[in-house]
Amino acid sequence: MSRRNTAVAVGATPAALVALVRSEWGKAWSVRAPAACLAGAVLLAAATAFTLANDQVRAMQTGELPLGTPVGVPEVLASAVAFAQVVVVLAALQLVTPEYASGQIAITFLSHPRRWVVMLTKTAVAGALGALAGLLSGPLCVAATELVLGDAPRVTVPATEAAVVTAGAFACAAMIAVALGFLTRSGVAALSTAFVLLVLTLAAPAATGQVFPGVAGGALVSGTGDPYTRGVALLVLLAWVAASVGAAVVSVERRDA
Amino acid sequence: MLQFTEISKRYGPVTALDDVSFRVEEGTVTGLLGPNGAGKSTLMRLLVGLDRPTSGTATVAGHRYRDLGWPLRVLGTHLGGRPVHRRRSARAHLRSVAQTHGLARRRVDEVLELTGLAEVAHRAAGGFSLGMGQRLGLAGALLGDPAALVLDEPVNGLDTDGVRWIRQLLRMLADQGRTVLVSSHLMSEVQLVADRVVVLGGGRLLADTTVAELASRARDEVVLRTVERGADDRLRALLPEAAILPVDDPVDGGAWRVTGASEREVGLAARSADLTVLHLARETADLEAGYLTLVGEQGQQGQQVAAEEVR
Repeated sequence: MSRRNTAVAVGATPAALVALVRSEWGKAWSVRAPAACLAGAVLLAAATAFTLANDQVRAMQTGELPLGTPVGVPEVLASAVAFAQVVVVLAALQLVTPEYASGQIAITFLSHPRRWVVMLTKTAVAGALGALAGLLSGPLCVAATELVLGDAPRVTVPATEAAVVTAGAFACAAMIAVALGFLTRSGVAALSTAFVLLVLTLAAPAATGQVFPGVAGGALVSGTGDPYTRGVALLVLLAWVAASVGAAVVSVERRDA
Repeated sequence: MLQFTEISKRYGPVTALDDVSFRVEEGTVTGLLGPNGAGKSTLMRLLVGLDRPTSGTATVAGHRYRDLGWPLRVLGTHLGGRPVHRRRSARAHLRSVAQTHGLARRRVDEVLELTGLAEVAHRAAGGFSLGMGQRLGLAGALLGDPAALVLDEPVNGLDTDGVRWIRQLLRMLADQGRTVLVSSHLMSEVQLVADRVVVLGGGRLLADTTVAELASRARDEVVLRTVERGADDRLRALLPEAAILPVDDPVDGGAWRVTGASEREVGLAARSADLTVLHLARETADLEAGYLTLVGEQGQQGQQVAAEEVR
């Protein structure tokens, strides 16, 4: 081994940022857990949509619902997404909390010592992974629902639209999860917090629940205008992403690694 | 190359480092010594920005580590342990690190070969032994072909061959003009490989000197073994300036360790005292003895200060 490096480069460069993104993207795929979680999220969303649609058909067959009641595919999709996004959160956390548990976060910060850049990069990678899962899940959920409904009347949603809104919801959930991972440095704590924010708040009174990302994600996916439009829903979600990521950046920069 | 200037670190009421300043020059191996809790690991973490100093600065080649554009090309760091995702293979781990600096895959293979991990590079790091984990950490530190290396207890868990390999590697790196700062509890290893030593104790700098100078702080000893018991009293009468302590020897109670007298003086005293000498030899002070002398002196000073404060 020869001594090659003598000049010392100072300051961040775009090339270093690109290299970091490549590294984090590669890391996400170099172990099975994130990919397995994403695949699980897609399958869980489709299975949930299938089950919910089947429940609706059965309800009409048993007389619980009047025959000919149109099934709302957007609502089925929103419920499936709400359920499956917990697994997307799990996938996103794989980018952060195992690094704290193993101590690898030190290697990551040594490789790129501007921690806030590392944090934002991981957030972006998790968002991309979430969006990828959403692009697959949305159309798959619609297809599963359509398969069950057969000739039953329904309020449908185009597959492309389902893909885009599901991708948006999953991406936001994944980015919030990464921020929670950096804030708590614990998989259990981050997952529990995400579950409360994304799922438990769905059961909260409407006035309270609608400010949380769970309800906003549902409104974004369903597009029914309940409790608000997709535009407002997206703004609420992005506000949560910005707030959680901002808090994580401040925390990561201030404390010892 | 590595510069610590009046650096302090406090964790709440605990002072881990207190106003420490020293410089590690290029082309040298510097051993960082000190008892557990002395602040060695903290010092290394402050250098690379993993911990924030309470006051003072630490720089690499004149810059804060976090300001370096491609830090791994300037400073390679291994802070011990096995900081790798348990299910990620050694090769995948190193590739992910290499990617952050745009390093070629060939470089990953080179460091795997250099550290003796090429055969197991496909295995998940979670199954690695402590020694293999150390080698993987070293491979990561060497990845950027850096001008300086900071290694925290790199020989922990290594077998005899591994320890010798590390020693040769560090010497080779320094001979190439690189700067090496290495902490270790194994004084014999530090003595063999280091040019200089920095000793920390209680978070303070106790010494920044050469290995030879620190070793010379301990006085040479003469070991005398006789068949007679009570020889120490007879020797003390003839060598009033010398300190004579029994050797902890379960086989022969008549062995004594003499400091403050030369081998010749002890031999002549033994003859005058009419002792039958079985063994007489001078033991040269080494780094460990010098270190223990230094740490012992500091400990006594600390106790005296504490006692005066109590009064």
